[in-house]
Amino acid sequence: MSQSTSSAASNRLHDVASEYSGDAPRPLGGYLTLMGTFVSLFVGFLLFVTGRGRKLPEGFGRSDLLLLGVATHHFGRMLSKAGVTSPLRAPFTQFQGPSDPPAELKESVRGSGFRHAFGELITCPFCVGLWVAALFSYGLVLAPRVTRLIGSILVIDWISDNLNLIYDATANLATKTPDLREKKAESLDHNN
Amino acid sequence: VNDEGVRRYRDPVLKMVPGYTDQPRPLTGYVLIMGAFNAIFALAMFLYFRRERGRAAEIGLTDLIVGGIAAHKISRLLAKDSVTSPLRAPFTKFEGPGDLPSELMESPRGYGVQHAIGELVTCAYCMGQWVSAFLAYGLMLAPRFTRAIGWVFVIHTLSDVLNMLYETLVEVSQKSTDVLEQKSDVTKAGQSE
Repeated sequence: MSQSTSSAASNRLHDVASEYSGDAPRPLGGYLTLMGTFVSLFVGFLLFVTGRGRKLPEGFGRSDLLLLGVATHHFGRMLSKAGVTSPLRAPFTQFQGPSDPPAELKESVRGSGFRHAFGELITCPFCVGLWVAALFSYGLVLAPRVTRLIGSILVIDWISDNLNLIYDATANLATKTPDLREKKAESLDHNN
Repeated sequence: VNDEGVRRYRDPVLKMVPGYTDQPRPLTGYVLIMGAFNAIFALAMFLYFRRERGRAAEIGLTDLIVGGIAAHKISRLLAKDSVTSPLRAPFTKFEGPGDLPSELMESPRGYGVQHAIGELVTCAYCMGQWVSAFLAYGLMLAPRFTRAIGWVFVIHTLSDVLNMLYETLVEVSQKSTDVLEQKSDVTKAGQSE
């Protein structure tokens, strides 16, 4: 009885999926698994905290939010784009070539089903960002000092990267200025 | 020699992920680099918790800003400067002078782990991650010493910025002289006609 109900339900799900997707192979099952995992982690965290007789903090301090916000941005990019983290993504992605931002790669998602859904997650800084934000928040409650240290490393690196970008941009401008000057001189010659 | 090596080299990690790429990506080197980074992190945590026994070392906003600026300077110094090139030489090949003063252009050489390390040590953005981590461990374990180092490089950054500004001003004044000369040439030409 229950078996037939469950199989009926799964048939129903398949109908919904095929009517929704049409010919495009959308990894709906993979997305469901990802959402399920995320929510289970959240519930697990809540149970773990309250089970130890502790309470969640009333709120996070502003400096912690700022620190972890910047850290999440930086860590999200590092996980989803950096060359050095590519072995972690390799089972789910295909190498396409170097990308424009320094030390980043272009990769496409491969495979189907859960593999494809997970590949989409780990190649997208915006998508990884939510997981990183959640894990940092749990970390802040369970192990605030370690979490703040990791946050500090990432914020220091983020400031350093931005300054390096500005420094490199100045170099580009400086090397391009003579070209511009020559072009201007040429155009002046033409006008004369 | 290297071509032959590249052809024969089979990256062990790359072999485990068929379909990722046909190119000789140094995945094993990346795994080792990530492993080393995280092992050092674990060691720093161990030292910290053994020594401090509950006393928190606060990394404040000033520390973050000083650390960030210092990390920028130190990472460029390690990844690009000519004076540090002997440290990079086992993993890199000299290509020529860089775009910025006292910097060099170098490319990673070899294949496998050597290439992965070469990528790390020639890339200021990549070295930045290691430098930032060491600065943060320093701030926890030896805050005064680390802050002193940080300030040295903040002052150095300020000096570099002022030098760049100075050179830009020289260029601008040079340009304005050029323009004035051109103008006087044009008026002279007009008068002679």
